[in-house]
Amino acid sequence: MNEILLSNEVIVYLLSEAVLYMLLFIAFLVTLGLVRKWNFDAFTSEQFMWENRSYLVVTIISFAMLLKLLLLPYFVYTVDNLSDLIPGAMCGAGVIKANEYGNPLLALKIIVLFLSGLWLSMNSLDLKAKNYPYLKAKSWFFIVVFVFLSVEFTLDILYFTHIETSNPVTCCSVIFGVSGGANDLPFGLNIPRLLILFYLLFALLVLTVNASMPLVSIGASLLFAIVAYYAVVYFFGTYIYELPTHQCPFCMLQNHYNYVGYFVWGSLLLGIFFVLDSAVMQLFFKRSSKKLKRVSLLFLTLFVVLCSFYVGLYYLENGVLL
Amino acid sequence: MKKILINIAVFVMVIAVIIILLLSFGTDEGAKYVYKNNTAYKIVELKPKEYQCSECNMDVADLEYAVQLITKNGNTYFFDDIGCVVLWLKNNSPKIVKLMTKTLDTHRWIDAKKAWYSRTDNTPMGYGFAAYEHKEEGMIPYEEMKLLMLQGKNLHDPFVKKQLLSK
Repeated sequence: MNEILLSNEVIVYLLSEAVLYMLLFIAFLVTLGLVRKWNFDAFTSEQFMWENRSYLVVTIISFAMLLKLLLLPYFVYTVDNLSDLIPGAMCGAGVIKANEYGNPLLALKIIVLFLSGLWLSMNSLDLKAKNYPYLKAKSWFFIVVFVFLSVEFTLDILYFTHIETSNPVTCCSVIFGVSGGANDLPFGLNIPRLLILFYLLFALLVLTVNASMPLVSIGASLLFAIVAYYAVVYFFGTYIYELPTHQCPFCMLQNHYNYVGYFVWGSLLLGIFFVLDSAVMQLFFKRSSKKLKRVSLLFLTLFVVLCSFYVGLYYLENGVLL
Repeated sequence: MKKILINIAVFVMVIAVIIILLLSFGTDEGAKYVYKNNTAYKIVELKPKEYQCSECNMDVADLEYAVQLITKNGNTYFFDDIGCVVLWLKNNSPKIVKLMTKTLDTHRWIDAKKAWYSRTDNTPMGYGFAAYEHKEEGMIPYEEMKLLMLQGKNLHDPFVKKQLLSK
C-alpha cells in the first residue's frame, strides 16, 4: 500500500472528507426533490414533509460546510507534514507539485470554500425571512456547489493515491527561486510596482467597502488577491524568512516561522471572502451589512499590517532592507 | 460633498491601478526567455545574464557555451548548455530555422549540428558536452551527443563520469 495513505494525517483527512461527502450526497439527493416539488403556498402534507426535509438539508449542509472550512488549513497542514516522507520536498510546495492533481485541488478547495461561504450567507438570509424566499435559488446554488465538491473529492483521492515516495520532487527554492533570474511576477510587474499596487489596491478596497461600491469592490478584491499572493511570495515572505533568496508560500506554515503562514494566508482569504460576500449580498440581495464590511476590513488590515510588520521589524533590527 | 470626494478618490485610484498595469504590460520584464521578431534569423548579440535558458531557467551567463535556437516565426530561444537544447527539444518541436552554438576553440557561432562535441568539459549544467568547430580526438558529432544526452550517458551519470575522466 502507498506509504502516503498510511500517514495518520492523510487517513484522518480522507476519512473526514469521505464522511462529509456522504452527508452532502444525501443533502444533494433531497435537494433535487426540493427543487422539483417545493411549493410554499401549498398546504399539503407533502409540502410539510419537504419543509421538514429542507430543514434537515440546511442543517447537513451548514454542518458540512463549516467543517470544510476547518479542513482547508488541515489539508495544508497534512501536505506540509508529508514533506518528511517525500524525497526532495522541504515543505508543502514540493508535495503539492508531486503530481498534476495538487495545484488544481488546492485552487478548487479555495473556490469551494468561497462558494460555501456565499451559500451560508444566502441561507442565513433565507432563514431570516418567514416564507423562505431564496429556497429554490439556494438549492440550485447548492447543486452547482455539489458538482464542485464532487470534483474536489475525486481530486482528493487521485492526489493522495498518486504521490510517489520513490520519486524525488523539486523543493520550493527551485519552484519559486531566483536562480534563473527570470521574472515570475504577473502582468510583467517588477517588485516596486507590485508593492505600489499592493498598497493602492488595499486603500481602494477600504474606500469602496466603506462607500458601498460593490462592483468596484469585487474587481479590486480579486485583483488584490492575485497581487497579494505574489507580494507575499516574492517580497514579504523573504522578510519572514530573513533571506532574500527564500521565496515560498508554504515554508512560513512551519514551526520555524511560528506558523505565521496560517495567519497570513488565513487573514487574506477571510478578508477577500468577506469583501466578496458583502458585495454579493448588496448587489444581488440588496442587503448591506455593516458587520460584514467591518469584518472584511479587519481581516484585510490584519493581513497588510502583518506583512508590513516583518519588513519594518527587519529594518529596525538590521538597519537595511533585503 | 464627502461622497463626491470619495468618488473622485476611487476614480483616481482605479485609473492609477490601470496605468500601473498598462505600464507593466508594456515592459519586457516577463519575456527574458525569448527574443521575438527575429525574422531576419540573425544571431542575437548576447550579454551575460541577459536571457534565461528555456530548459533549466538558469541565466545564460557563460556565453562560451551558449546556444541560440531560432524558429520560423522569429522567436529566438537561448540555452546555457547544449544538453539543455536536447532536453528541451524532447518536449518541444518548433520549426527550427537555425540552431547555433558558440564554439570553445574558435569562439564563433556555428551550426550546432555541424559542431563537434567533447564529453568532459566543465559546462554550465555539468553534462560535459561542449561545442568545437574543429574535430579533435574523442569528439563526437551532434547526433551522437544527442543520443548520449537522451540516454543520460553524460557526466551526471557517476559511472560514465568515472569511465570518461579516468581515460
